[in-house]
Amino acid sequence: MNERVEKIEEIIINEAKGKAENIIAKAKEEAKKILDEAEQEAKKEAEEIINKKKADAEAQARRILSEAKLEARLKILNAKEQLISEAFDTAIEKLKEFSQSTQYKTALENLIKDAAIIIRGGDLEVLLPENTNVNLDLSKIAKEVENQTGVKTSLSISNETIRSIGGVIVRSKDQFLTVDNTFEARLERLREQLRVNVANLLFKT
Amino acid sequence: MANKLIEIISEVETKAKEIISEAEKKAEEIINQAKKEAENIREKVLKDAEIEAEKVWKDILTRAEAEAKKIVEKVEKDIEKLRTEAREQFDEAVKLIMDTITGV
Repeated sequence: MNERVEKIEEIIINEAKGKAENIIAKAKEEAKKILDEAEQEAKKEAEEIINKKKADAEAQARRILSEAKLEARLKILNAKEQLISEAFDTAIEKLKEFSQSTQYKTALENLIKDAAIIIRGGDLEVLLPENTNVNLDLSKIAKEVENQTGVKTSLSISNETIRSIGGVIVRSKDQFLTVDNTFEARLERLREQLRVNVANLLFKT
Repeated sequence: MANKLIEIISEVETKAKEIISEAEKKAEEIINQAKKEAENIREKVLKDAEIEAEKVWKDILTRAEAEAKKIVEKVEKDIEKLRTEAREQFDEAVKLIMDTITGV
């Protein structure tokens, strides 16, 4: 009888132990799953953090480089602009000296002729800067204008003077037509075209 | 006799229940411990990621700033070269302006 009872006891306890082992094994399995999943999720999240930071940094780096390139381009443009301005400033200084040179007479005659042709000849007067000391052959110029325009032309020096570093204003006697061929006016009119030509010359490469 | 047997079996069953209950308790501890560890792992991995991300950020920006510095330094040299080359044509440029303005 005792043996039978012991056998029953053994069966019940063994069954309980089996169940217990099973519960522990499942718990360990579940624990492993929790750890694996946590690690995977954390790794994924970590990758996202790094990738986002990397993308932000790359965007910031692009901005830094764009700004540097823009700054470089502006510096080059400013340097070019400065050189062009220097060329114009030097030219203006030289133009002031030019009005005292022997070539000035030829220049004035050409400017008078060009202006008179634009007006298409006729009775014209010439306005010069004050203190102009040049002996102009106006009749010769008038003849050349006549030849070009086919219009009888007369040229005379006006009593009126102009404030200019050089050049001339030619106008019809009735003051209906005027061509301003002073150096300043010509510089103003031709500046844009000259800027391009000067830039091409200075910055050939 | 039969009562005695029932009593014994009842005691054994109580013991068996205790074994199972003990196992369940232990299982709960294992899972709770795993959850704690999981949280620790997560914190460590994320902390490492933050450090790594900062390093990546710093590396990329340091490289970009160095490159930007090179660009600006290069442009200073380019400008010097530009000025030198332009100086060679400067008198010609001034002459071009003068000739155009004076019509000579």
